[in-house]
Amino acid sequence: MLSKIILRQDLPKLVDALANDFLVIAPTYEKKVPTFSEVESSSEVEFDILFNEKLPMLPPKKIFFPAKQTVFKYSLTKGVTDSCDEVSDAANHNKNIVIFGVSPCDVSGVGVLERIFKENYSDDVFLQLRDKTAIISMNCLDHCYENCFCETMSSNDPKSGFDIMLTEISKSKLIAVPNSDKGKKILRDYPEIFTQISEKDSEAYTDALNLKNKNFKTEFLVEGLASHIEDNFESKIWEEFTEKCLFCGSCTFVCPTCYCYTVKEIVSVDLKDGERQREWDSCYFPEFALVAGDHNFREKKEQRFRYRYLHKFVDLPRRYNLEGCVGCGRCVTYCPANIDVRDVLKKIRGVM
Amino acid sequence: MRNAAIKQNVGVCTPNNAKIIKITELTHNTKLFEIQLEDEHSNKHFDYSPGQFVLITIFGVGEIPIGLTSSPAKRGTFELGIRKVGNVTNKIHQMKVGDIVGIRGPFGKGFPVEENKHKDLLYVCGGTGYFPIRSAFKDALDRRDDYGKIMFLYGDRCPTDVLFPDENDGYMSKDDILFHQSVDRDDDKCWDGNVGVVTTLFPNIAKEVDPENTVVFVAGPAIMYKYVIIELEKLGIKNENIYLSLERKMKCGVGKCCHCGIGDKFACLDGPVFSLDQIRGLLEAL
Repeated sequence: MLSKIILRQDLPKLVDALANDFLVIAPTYEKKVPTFSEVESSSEVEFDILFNEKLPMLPPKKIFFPAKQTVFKYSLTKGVTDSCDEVSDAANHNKNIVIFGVSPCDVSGVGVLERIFKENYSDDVFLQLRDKTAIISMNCLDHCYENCFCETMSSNDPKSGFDIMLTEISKSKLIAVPNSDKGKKILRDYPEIFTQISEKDSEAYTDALNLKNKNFKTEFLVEGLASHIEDNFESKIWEEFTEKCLFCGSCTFVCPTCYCYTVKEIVSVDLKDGERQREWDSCYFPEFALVAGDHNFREKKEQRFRYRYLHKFVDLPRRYNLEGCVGCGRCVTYCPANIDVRDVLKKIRGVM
Repeated sequence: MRNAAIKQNVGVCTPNNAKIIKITELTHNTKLFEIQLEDEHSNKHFDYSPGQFVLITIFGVGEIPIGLTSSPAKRGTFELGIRKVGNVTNKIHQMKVGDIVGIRGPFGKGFPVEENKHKDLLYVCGGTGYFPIRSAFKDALDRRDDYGKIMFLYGDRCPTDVLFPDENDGYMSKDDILFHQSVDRDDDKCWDGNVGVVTTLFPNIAKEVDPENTVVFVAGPAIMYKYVIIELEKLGIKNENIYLSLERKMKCGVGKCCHCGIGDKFACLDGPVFSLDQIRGLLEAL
């Protein structure tokens, strides 16, 4: 069988083995905040985060689409000198990357971004990094915390976008199910860590998946949401939440599927050379739709508040046939104004 | 619809280096820049539809979307008409022939010129809206036999703001084009033509328009659209035959950065040219 067993106590061994061959990114605590970081050994990894299922503050999008990155370099008089191929993070990493311990909702989130960055015009800066990355996902058998609504957004059972899925089948054992050539190779390459699966393990796996299926509940109806939002475009509900919102953009930065960006020119002190940086932007910021002549296409706060919902729950489903939200609940957790995306949607649907 | 023909071998995020080869001063705040890509292969294959746009980079300053202003039949170079309105356009206006800029594109959906062969064409533009319309208009003149009547209504703020006055004079003296222009104000009494907003020109063509067979291309400030649409509907032209070019902020031009979102569409991918039919179903469009 291609699926293998790994003992829970061997997970550090796996991280150490992978660290010899890959650049490993895994959950750690940075200043007490759960964070995906580059690790050199298993001693830096907080396995606790995996098993107590705390989501790192920033989703793995930051690996393929960093908060700030150089897109290309130029001379002010001669133009582009180094294109994105030469300056991107992918070009600077000799090793392939493994992200260890990604939750299923975050796998779905990466999938959303990958689709967007690939379609229409493919974005090499993003895709080069994505292509050299393998994702080892850690399955969830139950809602990880009260803000999670992944079942509602159908994101806790991704069919692709991960290379290996680890599922706990007992207190001491996990099953490692490969989902790609990359994943199959990893399972083959470390035979001292991944062992053969028994019939009993196989049954335990089915039991675990049944348990998962039983534990997850939907909170509200998503079917028909897009047209419902359009039909309630002029609703007073938007204003109600606009009054609470601080327009800080926190929800957009921690969101696994938010990808708005702006670009900035960084010029050297001698005014000879420069580089273009792209950095995360937020549709909640007042200058987001501002053009020359001081015309702002979304001047009012409620227009900006509403647009995020319009984009996530109307545009993305229609354009790409996928949900623009994975229900990870980060925006709920990190909102300083206590706005809950579920409340907004429920009110729009008239069920709250 | 033609697609971006530049081989994006540098990645869609990196501009192609290009040279300014000619600058024509049009008015006190507008110039026409003729531009050529440095890479010969890319330059040879640079092809576009009227109404499409490029993103022009002024290295060290920034990047902005600008509608292509020349006819696609003009090969080897292309023109961009630019008014001085912000940081980047101010800097462009200081540049000289031979200076290097960056070009990405062409991007977006332009005016449906191929789809409407043999129809009558009506162009309506105001101010810098003339620039993208000029591309479509010149394209039609380059293939005059492909179209029926050609009508052109152009309005600008005042006589000194009028773009391409010499070209316009030429069009007015032609028999196979109905060209009408107007200025909103003529404070110095130096204009011998029509004074008033662009909608005051509609009576000149009312009798010429066959509403069943006319396709309209419109570009100008947002405020102009509302009034132009009223006039076009009075003429009995269907929404599906009216095409408007919408302005939005853009950072990527390729549907990634989200700045140009309009309802459930992006101006860069789905537009910038939309039919009025589409716009009617688009929240926050006009």
